[in-house]
Amino acid sequence: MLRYYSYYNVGGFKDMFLGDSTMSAKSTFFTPLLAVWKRKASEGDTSVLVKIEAVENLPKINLITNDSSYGFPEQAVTLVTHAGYKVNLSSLSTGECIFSIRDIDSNDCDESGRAIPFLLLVVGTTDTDRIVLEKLAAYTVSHLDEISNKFAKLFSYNPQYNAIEFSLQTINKLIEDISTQNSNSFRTLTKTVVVDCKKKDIALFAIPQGLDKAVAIREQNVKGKSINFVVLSDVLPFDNPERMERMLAQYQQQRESSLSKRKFYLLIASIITVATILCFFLEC
Amino acid sequence: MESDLKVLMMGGRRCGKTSALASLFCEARRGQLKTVFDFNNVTPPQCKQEQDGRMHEIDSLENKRRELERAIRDGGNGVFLVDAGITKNYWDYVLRLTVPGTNKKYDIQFRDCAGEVFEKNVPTDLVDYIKKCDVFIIVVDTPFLMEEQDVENECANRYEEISDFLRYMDRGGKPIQVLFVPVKCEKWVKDEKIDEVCNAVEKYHGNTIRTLLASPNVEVSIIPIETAGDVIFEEFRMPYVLLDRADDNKIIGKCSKDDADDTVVIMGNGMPHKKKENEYEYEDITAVFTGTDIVRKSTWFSLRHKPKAQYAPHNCEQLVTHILRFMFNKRYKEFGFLDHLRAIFGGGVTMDDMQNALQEIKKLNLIKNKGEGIRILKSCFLSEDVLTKPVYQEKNKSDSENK
Repeated sequence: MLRYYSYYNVGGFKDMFLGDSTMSAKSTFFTPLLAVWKRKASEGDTSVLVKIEAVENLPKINLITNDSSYGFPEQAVTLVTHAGYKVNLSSLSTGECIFSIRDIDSNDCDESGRAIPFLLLVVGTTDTDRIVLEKLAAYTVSHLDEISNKFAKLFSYNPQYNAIEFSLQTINKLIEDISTQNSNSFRTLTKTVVVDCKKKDIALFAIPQGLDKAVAIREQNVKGKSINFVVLSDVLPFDNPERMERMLAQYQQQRESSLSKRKFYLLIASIITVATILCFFLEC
Repeated sequence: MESDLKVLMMGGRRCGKTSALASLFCEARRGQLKTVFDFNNVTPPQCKQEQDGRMHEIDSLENKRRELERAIRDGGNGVFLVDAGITKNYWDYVLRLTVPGTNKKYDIQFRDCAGEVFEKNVPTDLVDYIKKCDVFIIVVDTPFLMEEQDVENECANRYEEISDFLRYMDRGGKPIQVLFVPVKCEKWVKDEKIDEVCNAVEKYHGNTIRTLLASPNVEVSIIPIETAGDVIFEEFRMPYVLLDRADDNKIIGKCSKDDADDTVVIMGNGMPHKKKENEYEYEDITAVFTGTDIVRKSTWFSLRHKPKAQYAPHNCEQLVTHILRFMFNKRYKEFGFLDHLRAIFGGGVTMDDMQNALQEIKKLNLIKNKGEGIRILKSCFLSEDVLTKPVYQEKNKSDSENK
């Protein structure tokens, strides 16, 4: 069973339990006004009764509180509270695996037109889940823009219920498609990287270009753990063929330049060596 | 490198923590204090929002201040909403003081917490920071303090949660400073009712203040500040959003209802807007206090007209001067062999530097101990311009001598 969580902004960032893969509901809903309407109804306001009836029985997005964690692993708290990565797949001592991706631009903007970022986590509990999350992680880093757009569309405003809607059906289908059609590996400029939770504590720790590894480790407090680091700018983006082509061309150019420099130095070294030997014999 | 002083900003969501911090930094660098020290924002690079897979600079404190300045410059004749934008977790900022003409420096680290942090259990890394913290700045949202019912006031200002956080404070003997800072109080300053604000702070933070006053090593003050100057609280209104049915129910903007006319709403910039046939207003789902059945009303502000409103923060430098005075006296107490070495070999501020700074601050009348709502409820140190050991230590010493 996969469990879905998010750190999402609705009047302030909130830790949300979005639902799990076993639920039959197509969507879950965040309805913060329901409590307000119920209070008003208890105070005699009958105008809210219709609204209450419309949303009361909807499958809910629940807020994670001090009293109710909805199965959110305590060890994974740093993934939410701290930065230092873009995509992460970690194994926990509980046997669970947790996939997280942060700073996804949502489709909402604030009044200043700034995109509101959010974070999505998927927790897997079984071996099957582990394999699925490995493939999800590999696919995500090599299709980052595509996945970010798809994740952003999982949340939407539902005016009928005046609520935030999370599409469970869509994420279940998306993850199923990825796991059946793809492997747990991806390509960088220099090698193929395999995402394997059995080999590393952190099977994938993808950091953005410009972020120092030491800062990332400190930020996530994972010193001493075995980590499969990847810099995102080295990953071949299969969802953007033009960018991939540019990356490959640039890499090829750098290699050729490096090769011709080596050839040049080798030639100089050879000339110097031959000249030295000649001088020696002439001296003799 | 470990900073010389650690400060924690505390307060409910959207109460004005970052604005207070932005004004503090701005006034330190541009106000009269610049004759005493050079101030620089030397915040180290931190992990920030990434776009296109690359690192980007955070919104600086200077951007926050400019946001406020722009709102005043561009604000119309009406009443308007101040931005209800987003924040994330917490950010650390470092303000460096340098003795002019030298390389002697002090670093003050400010941790600015998102208000959401105070809606949950204290995070572990914040507990560690609180234990090491020297100064706590508790920002109070004055409109909610003065104008709202107890329940809304408590939801906005998080009195109980803040009290909970302060339990982790180190009461083991090192001097600690707690500053209660009412913000958005321009209206009460102009109505000459700022003392009522301070009385309300003492009332609602009563439990916290009593506990702090009972701790001998804690200094407690109330320092109201105006981060903008001419932006005046007008009223609270129920929050709505305006949607467009014809555009897939897209949200046009935040608004409030016009009590006199059902066909008109008041948009966030204060302008009335006649609703089109396909437009309708809906209760704002983002305006509910987390985990409650209470709606957070929108806070509406107006600009002073005569004379024309200016960006004119007031008393923000008092946060810096009070912290400096506390910091120097604290350092004087702790000045040890390593500090002497640092001072001799360069880079460290000497006791003479600290003493000179305090006297200069007093000479320029930069520090206010009373008036304009400023109250020192308890001080750790005897004198305002001469470095002294903490009072409670002197008292303990004389008690043991008398025995």
